[in-house]
Amino acid sequence: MPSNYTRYIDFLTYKAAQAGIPLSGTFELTARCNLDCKMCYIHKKANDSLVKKSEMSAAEWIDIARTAQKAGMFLLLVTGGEPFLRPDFFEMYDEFKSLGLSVSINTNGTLITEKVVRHLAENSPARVNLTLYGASEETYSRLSGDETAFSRAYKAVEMLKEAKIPLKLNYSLTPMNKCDFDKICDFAEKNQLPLQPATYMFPPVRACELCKYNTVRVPADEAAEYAFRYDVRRFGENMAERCKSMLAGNVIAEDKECMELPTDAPSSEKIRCRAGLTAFWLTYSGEMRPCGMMQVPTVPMRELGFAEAWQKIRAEREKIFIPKACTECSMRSACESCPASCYAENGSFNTVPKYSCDKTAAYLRLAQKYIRKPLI
Amino acid sequence: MKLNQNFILREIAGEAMLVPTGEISAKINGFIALNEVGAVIVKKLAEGCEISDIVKALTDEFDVDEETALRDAESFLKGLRENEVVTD
Repeated sequence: MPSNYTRYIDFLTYKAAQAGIPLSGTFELTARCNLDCKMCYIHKKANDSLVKKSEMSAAEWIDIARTAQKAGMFLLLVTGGEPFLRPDFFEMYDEFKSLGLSVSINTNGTLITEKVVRHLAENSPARVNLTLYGASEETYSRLSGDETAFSRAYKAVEMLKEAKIPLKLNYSLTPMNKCDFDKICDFAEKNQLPLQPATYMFPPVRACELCKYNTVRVPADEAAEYAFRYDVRRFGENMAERCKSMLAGNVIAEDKECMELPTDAPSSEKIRCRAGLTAFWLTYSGEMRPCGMMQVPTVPMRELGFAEAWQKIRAEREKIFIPKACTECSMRSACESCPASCYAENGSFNTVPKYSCDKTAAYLRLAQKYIRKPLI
Repeated sequence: MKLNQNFILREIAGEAMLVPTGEISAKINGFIALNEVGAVIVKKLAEGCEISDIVKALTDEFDVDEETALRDAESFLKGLRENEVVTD
């Protein structure tokens, strides 16, 4: 049952969509991070001076925030890299808050000191989204290259919780930290914190722009197992009902992989999410995109100015269509894929994202077993 | 009477809301959505006003008598004071 808050935001989003208002923005303050996570698409080194030079200044970000606020922005997500790496973080944050924005922060938590917590407590964000990378020093070392990050991240969780700053935990599933998945779920439950595990990991969406990195993700069927395992915890006694409604009368064959669908044609059905409709993403160097997971369309906001960039992104969004095969797929209601994932997987919005197909089919086979449907 | 400066009045897509900031945002994690009547009252408060100014604004804007407008405004202001939205 959605909360009053969610329902009101949905209502506001609906109205913003009618009026072409950029209600939600994401500001990618930096491409640099103090960690070196192997699967991450945006983790330039903290002391990378070239990248640092191309980052927009605090004055620029504040100016953009003021313009966007006048245009109707309300929800602002601040991210990176690691945003707390910026020494001028609070210069920007305090100004964003004074504009009457609802500001959330993505962070790995390792740079959150007592001083940072005190400052946040005096001017609270809507939420801190803290990504954990494991449940031990060993896992943190294997994945992020820094074993000390473990205790710093968990200390940050403790401090934020004690200061009653709204907090959500994220967890990115990779071969290097899947061993800690259950421990993370237990930790979130014990601390009564919401957890959003990412079992679908995008392939390298910014590699050509940022850095070469390994496509390290678990195989699709394994991702489905973890997603299913989490959903069993999350939905409890409602899981059977959920499985039934996801299967919706279809039977997923045990012996087939995802059907060979005609893969490369658009439908006339447009992208349905808020990307480019009421939401935008601004990269560290000033490119505006509908969504951070999309490499294209991209518009140079620093050259055009915010208003024109937003109109261009809105127009470009209208050209994004769902692959024809997806609109005809029997697994559609269970599938988490989106145009951004199509493009990331294939370099084309029109092409079916096979990894997602495989993951969805595997998930539905697990759902099928869960409610003991006969197999064909 | 005046609006507490820690509340920012926003108007987005025709909807008015009060967004807490500073020390108030630690107490209220969210915002106050205003309906049409609330929006008229809060806009007056943002300028600084007396209760009589609010009553006049309401009777100008809506089909309501003074007595009802005063009673409703006072009830609303009570809630605003309790949430530290209004400073006298």
